[in-house]
Amino acid sequence: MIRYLCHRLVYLTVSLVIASCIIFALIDILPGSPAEVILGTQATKSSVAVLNRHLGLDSSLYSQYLHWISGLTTLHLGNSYISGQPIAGEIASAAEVTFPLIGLAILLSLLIATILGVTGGISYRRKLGTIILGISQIGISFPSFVAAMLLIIIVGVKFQLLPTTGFSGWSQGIVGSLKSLVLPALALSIAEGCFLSRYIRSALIDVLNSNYYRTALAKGLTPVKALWRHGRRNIAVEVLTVSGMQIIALIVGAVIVESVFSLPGLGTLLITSIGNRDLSVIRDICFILSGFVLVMNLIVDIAYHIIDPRAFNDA
Amino acid sequence: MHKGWWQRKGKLLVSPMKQRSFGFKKASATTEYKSNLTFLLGATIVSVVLAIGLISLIWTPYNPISYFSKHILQGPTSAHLLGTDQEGRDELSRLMAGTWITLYAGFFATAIGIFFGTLIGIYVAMFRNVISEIIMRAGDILLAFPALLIATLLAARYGSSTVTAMAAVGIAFIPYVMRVTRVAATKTYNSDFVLIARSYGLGKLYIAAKHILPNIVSLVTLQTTLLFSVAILSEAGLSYLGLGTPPPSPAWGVMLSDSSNTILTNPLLVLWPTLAIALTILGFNLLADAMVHRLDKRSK
Repeated sequence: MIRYLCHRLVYLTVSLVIASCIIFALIDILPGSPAEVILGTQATKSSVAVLNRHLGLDSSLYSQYLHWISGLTTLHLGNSYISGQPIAGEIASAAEVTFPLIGLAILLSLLIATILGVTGGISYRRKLGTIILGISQIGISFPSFVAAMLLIIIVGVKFQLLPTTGFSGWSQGIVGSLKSLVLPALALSIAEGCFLSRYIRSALIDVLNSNYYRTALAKGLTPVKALWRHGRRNIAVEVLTVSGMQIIALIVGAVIVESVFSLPGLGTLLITSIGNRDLSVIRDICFILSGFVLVMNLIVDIAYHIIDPRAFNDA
Repeated sequence: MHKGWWQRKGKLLVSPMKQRSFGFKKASATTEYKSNLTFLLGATIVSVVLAIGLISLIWTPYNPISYFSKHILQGPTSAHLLGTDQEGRDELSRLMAGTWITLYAGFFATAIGIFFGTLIGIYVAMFRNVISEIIMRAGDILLAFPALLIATLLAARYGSSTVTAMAAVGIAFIPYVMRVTRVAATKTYNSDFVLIARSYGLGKLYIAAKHILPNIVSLVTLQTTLLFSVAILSEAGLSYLGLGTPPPSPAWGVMLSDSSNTILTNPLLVLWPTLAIALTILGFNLLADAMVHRLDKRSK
């Protein structure tokens, strides 16, 4: 186990370094130098060169990369080329919105998935099972931003139950902030939860039709006990194998949903920075998002090995 | 009609196993019927969407891009069945033209992902060497780059268009398809019948084509149809953010982002593209379900 963990941590470090190289290389391809954007179209060549030297853009790519990486590791990200604000502060305040949103969405989608998946799986031969399968099918068809629009129309405009735009900030009261995150998180989790519920359902049906489940029943266990004792790991493994995809879908969804609900999160910051060609901010956000995915994949993998120890044999 | 003892409801006559378990019933005609119904429903929706897309190539009620400034934000009328948008363009024509963009983008994105993903996945499962190890690691790193990030970078380099969005979504699909295919292909490759085939001295390419591919076909089909809907919604999402099909053209994501400004006064304009996206995805998902059911039955 410890050997495995060390292996994975080394892999994670290498992956992060390679990901940062890819991001740096690709961002460098972006047309237009920041100095030209800052100075506008009337900039002379000499003023661009002066600003480039001031921003450190005239040094070699290698030293620029090292400068960026050392900044990332010490959290000194410097100031934005465009707004002049410290990037670390901007990203931190945006992350305070995005990560709670993703966390809330994960919880909600797991809740939806468990309820729909378990009831649907248990009653898969009956009418109820068909109805639940239909519900999950329709739920998947509403991607996050589409669900967001519908939720704004129904909950926000018709009944005015929850706020539909903006975010007051955690310092203004936790309840109010959570309230403004509920609708976006719900919009994110409907499709994800329904998608996951289908995997839970099919894993549950596999368990119900398996020989070991039959044996457990023959031993005299009740169906619930047999499912809990012999089925739960098999079902959890199914869920874990698709959860990597879910996390990425949630991140992408969060970026879009933030712009629908105009929440000041990482997604909104990314989209604004793309518009402004604010390369340093784009670079940092891309790295944070891809790093988050890599770390979450590591966690999923470790959980997979804990639930299904046979996986150690494959490695 | 006379009922056999196994069909009667009386408690003593039903075997104790049947009373207790949730499963273990014979596959009945009802499940068969259900699967056919799913197939029919899915096929109907998909063919209607496809037909609308094809019709839009030769005919739409109005020009989907030209402006009729006199009729801004009209509700549904007999002249404009679904009303007009904030630029005075006919909503129905735009929806129809958007169908084609959606299908075409979804098809190419899925094709890129499935083709390369399956090929690489089978290779990685069959050859355990340095190259496959490098491919797996590269896939892990590529996983950390969602379609959104790739689309951002591609759009910045080549300008945002349907092609960049499609390529971004397709590239982002490759590592998933590869992972899923690898797991299934490894299982098949380790099975006894492949061992026998190998002991006959059959070539790896032959084994891959004759033994592994047929055994993972249902999985690939499931992936294809599921990814098709993901591709459709990704394209819509990207064009909503302005990273996909650019604004004058009537992609559904563009229509959503246009109409979201008037969501409070004209919720109907948001509703049409919403329903179009949801219905198309539903159609492909239903079709996927039925196809998987059939393939499963054949393999049993």
